Amino acid sequence: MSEKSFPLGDAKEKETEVGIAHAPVLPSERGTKSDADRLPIALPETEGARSTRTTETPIEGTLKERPPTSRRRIGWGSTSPEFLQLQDDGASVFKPKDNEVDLRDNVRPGTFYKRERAAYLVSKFLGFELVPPTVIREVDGQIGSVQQFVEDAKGPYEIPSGAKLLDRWPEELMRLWLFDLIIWNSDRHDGNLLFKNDRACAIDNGLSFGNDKPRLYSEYPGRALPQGTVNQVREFFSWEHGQRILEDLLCELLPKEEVQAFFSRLEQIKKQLLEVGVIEKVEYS
Amino acid sequence: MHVEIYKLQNDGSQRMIASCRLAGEAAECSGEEPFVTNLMVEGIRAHADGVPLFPAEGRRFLEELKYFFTSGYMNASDVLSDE
Repeated sequence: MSEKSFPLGDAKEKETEVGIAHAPVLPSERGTKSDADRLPIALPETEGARSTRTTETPIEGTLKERPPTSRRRIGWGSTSPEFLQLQDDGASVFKPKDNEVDLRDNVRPGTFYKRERAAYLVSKFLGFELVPPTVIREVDGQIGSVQQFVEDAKGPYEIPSGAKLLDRWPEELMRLWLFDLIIWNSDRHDGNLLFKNDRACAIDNGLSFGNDKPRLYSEYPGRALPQGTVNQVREFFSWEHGQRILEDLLCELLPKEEVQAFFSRLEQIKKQLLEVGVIEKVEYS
Repeated sequence: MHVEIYKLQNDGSQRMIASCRLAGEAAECSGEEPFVTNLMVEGIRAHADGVPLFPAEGRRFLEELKYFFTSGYMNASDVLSDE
């Protein structure tokens, strides 16, 4: 696609939009860090910058509007996703609602495609940029999720085992852990995680938000999160307007009780980050 | 019996990167590195309960591959006969 494709480039690009300050001392850091040790952070974004999160991006528009020029089943069997080439530019992965099968007790078939979109929205509004742009659309009469295809990405199994992911990309995996807790992902594993440009890409999020047992890639209870991730979460907590918009969008996709549980988890995370500085445990709701 | 594992290419085509077949009671995988070594060492997780599965578990490992690699970027075939 003509504009910069997912994942976005260096985080420093975002810092040019906002001011820079130094992080407040978290409770866990008191007595251990001086001003010189604390990382610079981005000040809360202006409403103008935040509005980019609430509006449809050009990539989303492309995914939603461009006619497909070819459609090719990717895997085996009738339930496989499809590679969708879009007119003029762009490739995507299409997951039709009709292909969804029974995989969990609480997340039922017929809803996965909405959850894919919901997960993308959460990633977008939090500023995590973990999920490739994802929309819902009809293709040849079939409704489903359409997600931007990430070119040249590698799954964990394609990465030399000597470079352990947990050591090589600890901040990315901690952010992924937090994200998967927030969306209550019941299906994160090596098969639905990609890396590109040292950034994690969280794909296959259709089994999220329901009250199934979470399956997380790695877990970091009690560990200090990367400052950038903490700032993003705190910034979202201070952005009431954005929270209301996200709530409305999620209510179009998920049952009300799941949306309530989602915000309850955010409150738990907020409380723990403010009081203790780390996240120890999060309950579904 | 065997399972073929494919990687989705940028143009939408699929390239086979590994094949796992039953050798006695266990599965053996061959193909591109480091994918094969990682798969053999790390195993996969069963789709129903997340229980780790390794090639030593043979048939079950083969049967679960198609549920593990479902993202579209990596895809595993059904269990195929060796004919």
